Amino acid sequence: MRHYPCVEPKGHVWLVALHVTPAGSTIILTLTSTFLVLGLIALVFWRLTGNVAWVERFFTVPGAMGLVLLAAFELTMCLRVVREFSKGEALHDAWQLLGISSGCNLIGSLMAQVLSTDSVLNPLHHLGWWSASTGTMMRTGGLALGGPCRFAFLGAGLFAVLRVYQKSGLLARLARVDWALLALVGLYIAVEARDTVAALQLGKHPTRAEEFGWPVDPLLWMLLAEGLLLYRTVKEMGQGWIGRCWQVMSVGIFLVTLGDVAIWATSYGFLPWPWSSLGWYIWIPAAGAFALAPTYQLEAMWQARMARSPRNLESI
Amino acid sequence: MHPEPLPRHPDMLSGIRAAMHQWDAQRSAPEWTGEALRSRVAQVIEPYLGEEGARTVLLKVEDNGCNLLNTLECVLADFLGKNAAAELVSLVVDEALAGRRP
Repeated sequence: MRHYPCVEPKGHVWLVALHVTPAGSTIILTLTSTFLVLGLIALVFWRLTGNVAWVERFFTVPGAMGLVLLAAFELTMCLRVVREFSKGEALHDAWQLLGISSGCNLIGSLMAQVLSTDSVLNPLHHLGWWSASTGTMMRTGGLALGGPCRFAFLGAGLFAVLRVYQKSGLLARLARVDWALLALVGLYIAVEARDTVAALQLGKHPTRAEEFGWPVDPLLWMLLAEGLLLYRTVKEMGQGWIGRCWQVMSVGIFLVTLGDVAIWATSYGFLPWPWSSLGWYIWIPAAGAFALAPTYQLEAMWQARMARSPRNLESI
Repeated sequence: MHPEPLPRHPDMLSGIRAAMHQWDAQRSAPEWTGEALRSRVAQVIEPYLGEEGARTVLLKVEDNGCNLLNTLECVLADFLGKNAAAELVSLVVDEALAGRRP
């Protein structure tokens, strides 16, 4: 991800470059890279020693911490963006919806990654309140919040963003390859729905977690369509502070879709063990991308305020 | 309650008049209209909207630039909020219209 001041070295851009340290995005990029590298080191140790505990331990403690930490960053940055917009402004409502989505993601991550597990990170475990059934309940609730709830609010927020682009006359059209990708993912959803119906007809009793998971794929299809539209729009506009936020958001959506397809491919045996474990690593850069999006929005607003006078930053 | 009457400064009024005349005279010159004007404004807003984004927005601006600031402020406020947009529009005035460096 390149930083903009290198692209157009005009007077005020250099001024901005000299006075602004984009601390937020640097922290998020560093955190994401660190967790990813740690995870890959664990993967290498597993392959060298043949002991899968390396990877399991990584995802139980540092991996879980990373996902929760990035979700907390995402929520904090979303709330700061909402504060920067006044009520009634075009993107205020959009960022409010994206903030609710981030809240669902953070609580969902906490429940599914920490409170449901039998790990040292779980405070319920230390207090003696944890049991296997409590863990299952926490995981089900966490997946519902971090899945359909989060994606529904994210979809609504991005729809509001697309309307702003449309109003400005900047909205691009989907390319043929985007339509092909959407058709492919649509086919995957149709196959999954057909299999679910067939299993129910054969007398399968779905668990609560499975029921909560049903809307996830259609919601992801909608998010992918929105993400692709945003990506095309930003690509057509050219590199700029405003577009960076939505570009990274569309990358996050693409990674989540990829992670979802990897889960499906694993469960159907298309992605055999140990290659299927690579799918677990997708969630770390995805979380990083979602945390970066509001940070880039905030940085764009700061750059605009700073562009005329660096002293303006003091008032923020 | 009536506000205090403004102090009279005949020099200030003539100064404003002179600036208005200067701006009007400048506006009719070819380097302050049409593509030349759009190009100068584009240089300021490109870092935010991107090259093509800036060009698309500036297509809505009349050749004489009469709706320039309004058009810019509307689009920029949508994406960056009113405060940040106001700063950028001021920058456009300083750099692209008045030819001043902040």
